[in-house]
Amino acid sequence: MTLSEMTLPETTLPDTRLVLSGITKAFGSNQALGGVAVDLRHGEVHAVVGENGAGKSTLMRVLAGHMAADAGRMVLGGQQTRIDRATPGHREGIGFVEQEGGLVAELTGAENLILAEGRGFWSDRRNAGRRIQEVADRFGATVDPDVPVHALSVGERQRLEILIILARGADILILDEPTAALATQDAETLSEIVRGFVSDGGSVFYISHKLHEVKAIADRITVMRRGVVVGHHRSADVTVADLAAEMVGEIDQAGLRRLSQDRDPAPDDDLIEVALGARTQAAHRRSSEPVCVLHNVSAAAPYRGEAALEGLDLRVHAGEVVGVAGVVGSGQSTLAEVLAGLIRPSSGRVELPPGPVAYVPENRHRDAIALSLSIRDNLVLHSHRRPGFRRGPWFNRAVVDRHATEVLAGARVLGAGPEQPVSSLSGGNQQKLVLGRELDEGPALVVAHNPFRGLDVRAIQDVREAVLGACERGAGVVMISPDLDEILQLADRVVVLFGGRIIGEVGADDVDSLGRLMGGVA
Amino acid sequence: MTIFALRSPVSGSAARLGSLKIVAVVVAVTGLVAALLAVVGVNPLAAGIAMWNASLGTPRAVGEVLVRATPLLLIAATLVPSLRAGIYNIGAPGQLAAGALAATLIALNTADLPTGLVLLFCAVGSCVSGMLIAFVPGLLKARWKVNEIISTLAFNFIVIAGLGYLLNGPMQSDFANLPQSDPLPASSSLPTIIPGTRAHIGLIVAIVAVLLLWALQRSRLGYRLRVFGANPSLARQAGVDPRRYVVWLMTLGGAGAGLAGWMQVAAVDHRLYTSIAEPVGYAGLFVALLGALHPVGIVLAALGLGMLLHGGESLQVGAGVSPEIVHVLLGLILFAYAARSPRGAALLGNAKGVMSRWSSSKQ
Repeated sequence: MTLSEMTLPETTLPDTRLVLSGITKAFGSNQALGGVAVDLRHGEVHAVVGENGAGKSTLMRVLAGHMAADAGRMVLGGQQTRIDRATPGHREGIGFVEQEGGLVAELTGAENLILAEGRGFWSDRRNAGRRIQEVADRFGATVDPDVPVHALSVGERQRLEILIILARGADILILDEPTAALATQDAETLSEIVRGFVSDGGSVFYISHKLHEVKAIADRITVMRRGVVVGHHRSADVTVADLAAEMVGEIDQAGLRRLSQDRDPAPDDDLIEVALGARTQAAHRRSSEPVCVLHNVSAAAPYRGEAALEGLDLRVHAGEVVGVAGVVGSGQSTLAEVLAGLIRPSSGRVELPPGPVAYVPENRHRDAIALSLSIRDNLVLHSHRRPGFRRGPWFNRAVVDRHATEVLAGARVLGAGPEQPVSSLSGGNQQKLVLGRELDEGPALVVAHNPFRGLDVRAIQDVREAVLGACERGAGVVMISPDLDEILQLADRVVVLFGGRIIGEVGADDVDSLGRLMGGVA
Repeated sequence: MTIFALRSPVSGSAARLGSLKIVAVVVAVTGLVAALLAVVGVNPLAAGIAMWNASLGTPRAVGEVLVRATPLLLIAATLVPSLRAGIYNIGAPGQLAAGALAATLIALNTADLPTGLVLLFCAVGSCVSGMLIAFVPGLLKARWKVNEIISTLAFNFIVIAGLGYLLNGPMQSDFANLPQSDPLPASSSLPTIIPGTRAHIGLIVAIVAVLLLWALQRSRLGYRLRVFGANPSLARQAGVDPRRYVVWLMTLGGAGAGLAGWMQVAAVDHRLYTSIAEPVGYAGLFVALLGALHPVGIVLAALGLGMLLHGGESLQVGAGVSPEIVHVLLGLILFAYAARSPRGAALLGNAKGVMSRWSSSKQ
């Protein structure tokens, strides 16, 4: 495929609903989008794939009117539409489901619909719930529009948000990493809704970096890398391996050289394998020595919508990776914080290793880093107590900085100094920093909660290696994730969490019983 | 957003932009006040000269400026750590009044003791009572998440009303039927540090507080406070107990305000009045914010405010202007500051930082 073919979408087709061309957007010196062209037809799912920072989300924000583009054209339904300024509210006919979810948790689904329509005094309050229900029935989804959103699970919330958008009459739906936090069951329901919507003539932009998923659901796939479109395929004509190679940039020699300058080049075959979701061949390191034992532990949940632990049993041995699977909200956060020593159990016995516990929380910005502080301040969170770091009452900055630089290098966060604000790092580098900081303490237990969330393949590869490295050194690892694939790729054995208890354990190859257990069928 | 802007580290270009903004604000505020003076028929230039002479013209005047700056500086220095953590203790007036009350009671009842002991007792007593008044809202916040702005404000009313009762009843001076205490004995007044002025040793206490605040930046405790201010959840992982920190930060502010109350009553007023906390109490918070929660900033802000307060009192004599013009000026400065913080910072100095933070958090 030549470049000219990629930059000139087929505008002449009669079933074209939307054309974006020449979209550019820069944040300071960072060119997030460099002349991107995509189009969307009636009744299709158009997937946009790419690593983190490829510009997928920025492009969609421009399309939805959340953000102004620096330059470019947009033709929506045959009409030239302004994109040089952000639209207050939403663009007519376009619904954007962002990763974080856009519903007001205190309100019910019906109230959220009323709020979104913004008709104030003239709202049709009485029929709001029924309208959501009608849309749900049309696509065979079940949802209760009359309970507060916070009482719903993550999957139900997302379903509700999509149905609200559809009830408002959107014909273009944008889904940004829709399955990032979904359990298998919810992901299937989601794809049913998407298929139903498309067969009714709706159009969907589907943002993801999970290639198997994209290949299964999309009609066309656009690959982005570093703010430009690098590939454009019909889903039926392309293999997942090709997509992975394109996404990672194996065929772009210039890009490769650029990459190898700013990081340790991992062999690209490995990266492609990570992108494809290949299983890491873990050596048998497991010993019979338990590093951590939870016996009949009950503990209160840290926030609303999360299950409390109720009589949970778990044993983690040195040198093994225990995957904790389960539907989101089954007590994963509670378990993670109990293991990290942040929640005191109300009953039961907790035997934690005497040394430090490495904790990689699920919500990086809320629990793992202080965004407004420097890299140095974020790195010495645990080590700032070390006597060697002090000179009299004050920190010995030279020693601290030497240590910080070492940790950064060890965690493969390159090109960043201790003085820089941590917010200048990409999400992947922030995660590597967190991991580097935690593993630097030489922990006997590593608790990683959804550690790959939002990371691109390179970062996933680095984080994986770091976790497995700790394992090799004799640490027990508890890896919690709603993504079964991620767990299966890394774990030696998998336990399933449901309603605050471990309801079963399966080998890493028994996917069928895993699915049943996650639904609560013991 | 306001808090965020206050805490964010200042880069080179942002600092340049920041100073540019300050110049613009100074010009605008001065212009407004000059116009106001002209409207009421006063030559703004003459008023300005009168204020300058009154605040810096003689050593005595400089001393007066320092006397007014001292409690402001002390309160600001002890409030900064809590403000950096996003805790708004606005109870300085009540805590200051409690400190002044304690100092008065101690001074009136220990007149026979040597000066050194009286000073020590007064200092400790005022400090502890200020801490106690601040401790309660701190505890309420830590335990039951009671909003400290509301609870400290409520305590201001309670303490000032209590003071009013005492000064109209049990503690009222026999001298006149006014709400005031007996004069404090000479043994309790603070030694002056600059001959020929009223500048007293309280200034040294305030400077020590500022130096400690500066040293805090590089210390272990300062690091934990920084993390606590930036992300309490993360601080918990560093072994910080957030509830304890809330209580201690609140109490620290109370200590400073209590000491300031002692200085006001023992070095300036020599009698306890119900108006003891005016305008020092809230002005201390103002100095902390205006000084951008930075040690050097609060020193400059305290001196500037001290000059305005003292100069304003002399305006009546020097230029025939009512001293309230200074309050108008203060109001305008505060207004300019408030306008600067939330949107202004996002639009100008922090626009880049906010954008990059935002985009990095979204991708």
